[in-house]
Order: sequence, then C-alpha cells, then structure tokens
Amino acid sequence: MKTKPRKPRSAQVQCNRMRHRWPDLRPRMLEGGRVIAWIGPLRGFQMKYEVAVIWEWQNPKAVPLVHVLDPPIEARPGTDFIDLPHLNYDHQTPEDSALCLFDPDAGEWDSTMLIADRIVPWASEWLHFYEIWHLDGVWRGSNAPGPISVGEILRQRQEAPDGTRA
Amino acid sequence: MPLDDTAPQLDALLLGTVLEMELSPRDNQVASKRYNLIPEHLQRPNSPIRRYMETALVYPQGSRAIGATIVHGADDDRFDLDAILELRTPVGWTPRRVLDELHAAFEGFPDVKKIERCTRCIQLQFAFMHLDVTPMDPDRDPRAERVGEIYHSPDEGRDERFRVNPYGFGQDFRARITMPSRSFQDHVRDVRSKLQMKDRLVPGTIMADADIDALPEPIDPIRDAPQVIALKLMKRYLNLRYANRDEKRPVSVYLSKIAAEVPLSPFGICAQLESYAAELDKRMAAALETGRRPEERNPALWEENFNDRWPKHDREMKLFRMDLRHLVSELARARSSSLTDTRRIFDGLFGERVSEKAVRAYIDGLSSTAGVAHYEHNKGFVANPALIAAAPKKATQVSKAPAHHFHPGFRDK
Repeated sequence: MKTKPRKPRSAQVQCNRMRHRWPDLRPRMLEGGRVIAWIGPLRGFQMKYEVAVIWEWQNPKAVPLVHVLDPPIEARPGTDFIDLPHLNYDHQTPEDSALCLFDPDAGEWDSTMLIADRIVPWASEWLHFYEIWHLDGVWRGSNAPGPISVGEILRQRQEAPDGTRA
Repeated sequence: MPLDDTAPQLDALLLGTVLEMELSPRDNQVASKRYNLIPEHLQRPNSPIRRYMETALVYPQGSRAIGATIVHGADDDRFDLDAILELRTPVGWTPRRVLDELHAAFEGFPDVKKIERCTRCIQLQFAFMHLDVTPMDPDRDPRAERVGEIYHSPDEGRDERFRVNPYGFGQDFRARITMPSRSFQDHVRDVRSKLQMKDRLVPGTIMADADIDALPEPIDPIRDAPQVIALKLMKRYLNLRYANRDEKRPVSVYLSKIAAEVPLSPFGICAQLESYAAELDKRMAAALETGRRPEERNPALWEENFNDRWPKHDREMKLFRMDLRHLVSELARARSSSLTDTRRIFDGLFGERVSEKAVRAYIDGLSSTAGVAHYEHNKGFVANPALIAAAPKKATQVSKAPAHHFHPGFRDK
C-alpha cells in the first residue's frame, strides 16, 4: 500500500499548536512578515530563560531556530564561546548562535513536524543539560556521532591535513 | 509563594538530599538488632531490674516509628533513635529511682561507648548512633492500647509523671499520611537502589555481625511519602539552624504532627515542603498574635500536650518563624536559579556534603542515550516525570517529545 506523502505544516497549524502547548511563548511577525518569532520563557534546570523561536514560515526548507535571549548563554570559565556544545554557530557574531537541537542527517526534523512538540521541548532539554555542563564541563545529553562543539570540529580539522572531519 | 507550581528538577534534588540522609539497609539492621538486644540485656542474670522484666515490652517510638529517621547532619554522621520500655513500676520506686536503676542496668550493653542518664530517658551512645530508651509505667487494665506514664526526674526540681501514648501517635500519624502514586514510589525506590549508601555502623563494631547480615530488614514504605519527606527535610534544616544556638528547638513530635496534617500536594516535593513551612508559620503567627502558645495534643491521648516543653517564650516562636521564612525564601530562590546557584542554596539549607551528593546522584542518574524526553506544557523539560505525579490528581500536563540527538554545526553552511 502506498503511503501518502505528508505535507509541510502550515503556519496556522504551527501557531495553533504553539498557542495550545506554549501559551507563554507569544508570536510576533518580524522582517515584514517573513518570519514568525515566538518569544517567551522556557525552563532550563529550574531557571527560566527568555528564548526566541524563529521560523521562516514561507520557506519549506527553513529550520526553526532557537536563540537564548536572557540570560545569555555563556562559555565555561577558561573556555571560549566556540566550545559551547551543540550550537548552530554564527561566525560573525557568535553570541547570536542558535541551539543545534537535532541531527540533520538522521531525519529527526522536517517541515511536516510540529515545532511545539519537538523544537521547543528539545530547546528546554538543551538548557537543562547546558546548566549541568556548566557545573562540570561534561555534556550529558544525547549526542549525534562526532564532536560536540564547533571548537572541537575546528580543532579536529586542523589535526587532519586534508581538512576532513576526523 | 509558589505553592501551586511544580519544580520537577528541584524535587529531584530534594529527593536526593533526603535519600542521602537515610540509614543504609545495614544500618537499619544494626538499629533493629540493638532494639532487640534491650530486653535481652536487661534480663541478664546480674541485671538489677531482671525480676521486673518478665512482662516488659520494648518498641520504637519517635522517628523510627513513623519512617522519619535521618542522619543528624550538624554534629556528625550520627542518627538518633528512640525506644519505649514498658515496665511496671516496682513498688515504692520513685521516678528518680526508676531512671537510676535503669541507668545501672544498661551497663555493659554491647558496643555502647557511653550511657547517659537524662531527665526522662537513658541515652545509649554508640559510634554514629544514639538510642534513647524511655521507661514507661503501663496503665492498669482495662487499658487503652499502650497508654502509660513516663517519668521525669531533673537534677533540680521535683519528680513528675506524665501520661503518654507514643504508640497511638505513631498509628494516628500513619493513618493520616497519603501514600503517593505507584509511579512516584517506584521512582524513589529506583533512585535509592542506585545510590551507594554509606554504612555508618561499620562492620565489626557490633556483636553478632553474622546474625545482622542474615536478617532482612522490613522497609517501611511510609518513609517515601511526600509528607514524610518534607518532615525529614525540615528536621535536617532545623538541625543545622540550631546547631550553634543556645536555644531550645521545636520538638520533633510537634513537627511530625503538623507534617501529617498538611495534605499531599499535587505539585511535588518542593511544594509539599513549602506548604508545610507555611502551615507552621501560620500557627506561630496566630500564637504570637493571640498570646496563646500552641498546645498540640496527641490525637491518641488528649491529655498529652506535645508543646509542654516548647515553646516556652515568644522569642522561641519568633526565631522559628525567621527560620521558616528563610527556608521558604531560599526555596523560592532555588525555583528560579541555575543549577550552580541551587547547589549553593542547598549547601546552606541542608549541608554541603548531602547537597554535593544529591547533585552528583542527579547527574549520574541522567541517561545520555537518546530517548523520549518528557516536558511539562508551557514550562519545559522534566527529567523525572514520576516526581510530579505524586498525587492521584495531577496538577500538570506532561507530554513526550521524540528521541533526538544534539548536534553542533555552522550557520549558513
């Protein structure tokens, strides 16, 4: 039996689900309506962080990005921002990096899925593990195979002369 | 005060803190063995009270009877246990003589380091354990179950006798406790089984070690009820607060009675402790306002006033209120703090050693294997969903997010 290909979720469905599951994350339209941003509190270990979930809703390939606004995420003492685990790293302004919440090679996210049911809970989980990482420098969340930070990726590339991932 | 909000990760740390203060299974066995040795020792051939021991009865009272025993925390790794020794008063013996003779009769008790004669009991001091044995003269028949009189004989002042029923209180306490959901109980047992609990009573320091290791100790499930967990946390907190004060502290039996009267919170352990502290604070405020000291009675024997020795002065109630408010404000702070700051808050509330171990146990209990993650609607991640489902009527909605893997990458690449 042929399975019907699933359709990308519409902005209305995503907004309805967000309103139902995360009513404190308030939606607003940015960049002339091109982007929906849900902004509001999200729990880490216990503390609430203000986060922004940014989604280019008209672009079917766009991945929703989660940015931590307040308090801003920080490196551990003695390390660099680039060593923060699991960031979608922004070279120009590292502090604007988003959280990297899933393995793109493992099909864990696509546009048929609900932001409220995956991206937001995963972001909260990220914040929880981030606080534990701050305590002792060990990331205890689940990891995709390979390095856990962009800093580690770059160091491995430097070690491998052909620039391939070690 | 956020009494109506969950704090799942804080609950996990509070649970870890309580479990770190528990007696290990072996310590429990040793304690039981020592209870059992009391009649045996007092009936030995050269015991001065041997002939009065024929109808005597020994049973636990206090924390041991209600599943609320904890390691003290302020003094050392010590835990304090209590027993009642029911013994008909020999004809002509005054309270002073009963206590003096019993003091003498305990001489040579196995492993005991020191024996103290107190105003109402004999305290057997072992390494890491104190056992207070309170003699009681049972009422004559027809007798309400285990009602009797205990003796009071201070160095200065007259001897007295007080009618009490600690056994009845224990039964009443147990009847008032609401057992949490099965998933909550299973989770507590699971966390406990993974802990490396330290044996305080080191093998070789007690007689008949082999017997002890062979004895399976029945575990009292009441110890895992949130009302009892809140009581243990409060006791530990007060142990530390009063450690360097020359003030009388609120008596344990009073704290126990109120703990059982605070209903099971549907919002978890932290909310249970906050509700309990708020209830005690309310009672202190009312007492100070009306000028009438609390007179909490034993539900199993109305004439027994649990507040006969505390509080004696307004000052003591004001001090207690300050402590309660400090506890509540620190818990409120922890509710919105990072893990690093929460750890510091717990150091101050319950002691550095247990908070360090509780954090470590929490971290070690997390799985790094990708699996379904639980989250509370509109709040966020929940590491241990069973902890916020203690009450049958759940206060919060928890859903699951599919398994995934965190992954680093470059923006625009």
